[in-house]
Amino acid sequence: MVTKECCFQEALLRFFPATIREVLKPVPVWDEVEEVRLKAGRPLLLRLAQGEAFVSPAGFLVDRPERGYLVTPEEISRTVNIASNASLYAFEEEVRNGYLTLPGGHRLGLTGRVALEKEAIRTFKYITGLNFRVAREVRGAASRILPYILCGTPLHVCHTLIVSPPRAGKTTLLRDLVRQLSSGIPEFGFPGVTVGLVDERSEIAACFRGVPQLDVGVRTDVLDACPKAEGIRLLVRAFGPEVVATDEIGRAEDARAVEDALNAGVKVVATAHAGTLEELKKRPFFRYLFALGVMERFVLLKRREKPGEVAAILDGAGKPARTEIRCRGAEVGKEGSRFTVHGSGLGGWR
Amino acid sequence: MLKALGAGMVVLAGSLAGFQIGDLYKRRPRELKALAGALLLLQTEISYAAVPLGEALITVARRAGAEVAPFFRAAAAHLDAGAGLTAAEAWERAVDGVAPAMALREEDFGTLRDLGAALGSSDREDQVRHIALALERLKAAVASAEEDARRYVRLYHFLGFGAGLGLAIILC
Repeated sequence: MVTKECCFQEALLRFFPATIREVLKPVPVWDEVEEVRLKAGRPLLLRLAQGEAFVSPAGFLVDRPERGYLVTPEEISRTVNIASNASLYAFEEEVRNGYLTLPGGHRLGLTGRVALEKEAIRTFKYITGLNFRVAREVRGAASRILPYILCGTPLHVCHTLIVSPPRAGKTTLLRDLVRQLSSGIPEFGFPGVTVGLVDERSEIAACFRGVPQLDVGVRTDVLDACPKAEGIRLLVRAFGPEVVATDEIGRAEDARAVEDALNAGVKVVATAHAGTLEELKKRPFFRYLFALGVMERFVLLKRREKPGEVAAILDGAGKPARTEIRCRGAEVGKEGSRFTVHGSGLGGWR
Repeated sequence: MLKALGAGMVVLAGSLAGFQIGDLYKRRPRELKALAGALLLLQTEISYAAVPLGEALITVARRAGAEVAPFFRAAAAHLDAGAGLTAAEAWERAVDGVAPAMALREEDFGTLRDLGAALGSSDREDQVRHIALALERLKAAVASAEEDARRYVRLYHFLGFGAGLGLAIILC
């Protein structure tokens, strides 16, 4: 485990220039690091699973910003150059969206001065702030919700929407859910289904040259860096998936694609950004989706101390979902009960 | 007899030195043309395929003339070494590594260094502009290098032989 964490740390440090590597290397809490924030002329900041801390030049975690290591503008541009593999031109579309997806599914957010063209961002003139978000593969993250996602006899997948605020672990949960649905779950006698995954931001499967770097299951077809609406249609037409999965739906054009998938009899598993279900209901796209009345499960995540905490699993009517599955090893709580955040085995995944 | 042998060796050494200097003049336009061809390949890799720089450099090394292939191979190796080098640093190291073995002048390496400083750190349009600028400078350098070659190759061949002969006569 120590070796694995050590390799993971080494792999992450390769995205930074030598000076920042020296500062970050001695940091003792790498398994807790969620974000590394670099801003020109300001101290190096780590966002951890619990709280945040500045890093001193010697690599110690400190509370006071004045004791933190000051990041230079030169280090920011070096980080961008190294993290992008000296190929910023290969990330044009992503730069326009303000981030780069790096090998391993990590994400480098960009801020600074932008250059506009026809009122849209063309590129960044100066990049002066970076947010390195660490992607982690947590196998088994979806095990607690699976008994509620599978229903009927024989078992089939429910239309599911994972609703979560930022940094609560929805992408990690979706990745593991896709993996388990695709590879099958022997404990439940579930043989696995063909999953079509539209990974618009390359965060779920972390593809390198189109080949997934993270495990998304043996029966999963991945469309990498493809717009969701187009991707869903393509998969439904050409690959005949039983389940279509995608991250962060919500734009108007996604609605038609989701509807197409529903009409084709394909199950949809998706995530959406929102704190609560009520918040979601105020948005036109989801109002439309709710009006269709097709969603069978809502998995609500909440970030408390750690990411990946399930706040509730609701059925299509907004009532606590029930599970028909009883199996060994799956601590699924009481039947029909609302998940409690601090209940045994139902907390975060770390 | 020994004297004649010594004189012959002095003439031979002088001629060889002359040929070597002349050879530098002969090689420079060839290397400049090969470099321009390679940069054109790099431009294509970046502008049409947006291939990551490391891969683009390897492709260029494979397809470019033998005169400049080691340079692009070295740049790709420095970039992929995982030592946290930027493209500019990897490029600079490659230039320093191959410079002694090439017939190019400091001004030619200056063109390469200027290009290296901008590589990989902007969008495609900007990258293409920088490569086009380097190509323009190389084109001008090729013209003057060809003129120099025409003028000086024979001159240095003759000078080397003449200097060797002169020295042999004085020594004898």
